[in-house]
Amino acid sequence: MLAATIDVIAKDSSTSSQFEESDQDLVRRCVKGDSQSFRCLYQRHQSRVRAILYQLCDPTTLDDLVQEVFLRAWKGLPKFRQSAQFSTWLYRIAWNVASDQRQIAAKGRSRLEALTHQSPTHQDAPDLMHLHYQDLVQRGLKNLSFDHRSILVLHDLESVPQKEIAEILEIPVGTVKSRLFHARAAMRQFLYQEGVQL
Amino acid sequence: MSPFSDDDQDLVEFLREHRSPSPPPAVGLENAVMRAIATPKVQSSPRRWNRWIAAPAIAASLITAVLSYRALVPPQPSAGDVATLEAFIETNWNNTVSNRSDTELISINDE
Repeated sequence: MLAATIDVIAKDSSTSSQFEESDQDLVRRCVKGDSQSFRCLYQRHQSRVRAILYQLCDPTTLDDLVQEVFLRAWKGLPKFRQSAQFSTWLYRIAWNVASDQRQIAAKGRSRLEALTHQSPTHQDAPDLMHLHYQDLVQRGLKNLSFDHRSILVLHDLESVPQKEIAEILEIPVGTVKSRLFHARAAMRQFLYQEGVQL
Repeated sequence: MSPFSDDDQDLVEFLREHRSPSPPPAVGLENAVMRAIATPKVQSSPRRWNRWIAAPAIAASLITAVLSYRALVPPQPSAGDVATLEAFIETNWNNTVSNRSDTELISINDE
């Protein structure tokens, strides 16, 4: 009985210590085959990966895409440079998955209309104006080119620094700034045409 | 330093306030990911395959190179062959020179 209690406590403490560990430590454990460390990485990063993919891809395949991102990450972990930031590397994979999915969709796969997946599932009683603005933002993002949308989602919605975005997209920081400028201008123009005064 | 200019702050705040929340993950997605990674790593197979295919490929390349060299480069003639060849060339040359001088002498005398 006592041994079992000690075992449970040990398990709990090892789990909590895993949560405190840095991404790099968890990655090192993963490379050695510790899948529980990968579970920690998944829990730590899945919501942001999900948010990025949601804005860049067809939401009907969101779960599959998230799974694909983490599968690719797991397979690619042995090649991951420990000096790099794990999140940057992971977002790069997410962006690649989004790009691939976009290319597949462009080849003729039917896509659902934007409005069909606008229904907010989390909110109990969202007001109509908020729903309207959500629809506008979503349509505005869809209205942008994939490059501009990627920049806007990563920088303005996910608060990823420009330098990190440059690494994720493998483009110079100057290009990030330029694309961000044009993306915002296009978004502002779209909102203005829809009657939104900022 | 602000990540965006003051001019764009209103736009960024609007976008953040009215962004659509991503739908929650399907129940069991995390476990599905963990099950998927539990299968043997895919990358180890190509590496092993490369290792097994590389050695025979290198050996085959070396054998092909040696055989090609032997087939394409002519064998060295023996000393007897060389002597025979020299004798033939010498005889042939002498005959040619002597015949030519005769005809030239004849033609000069004719003129």
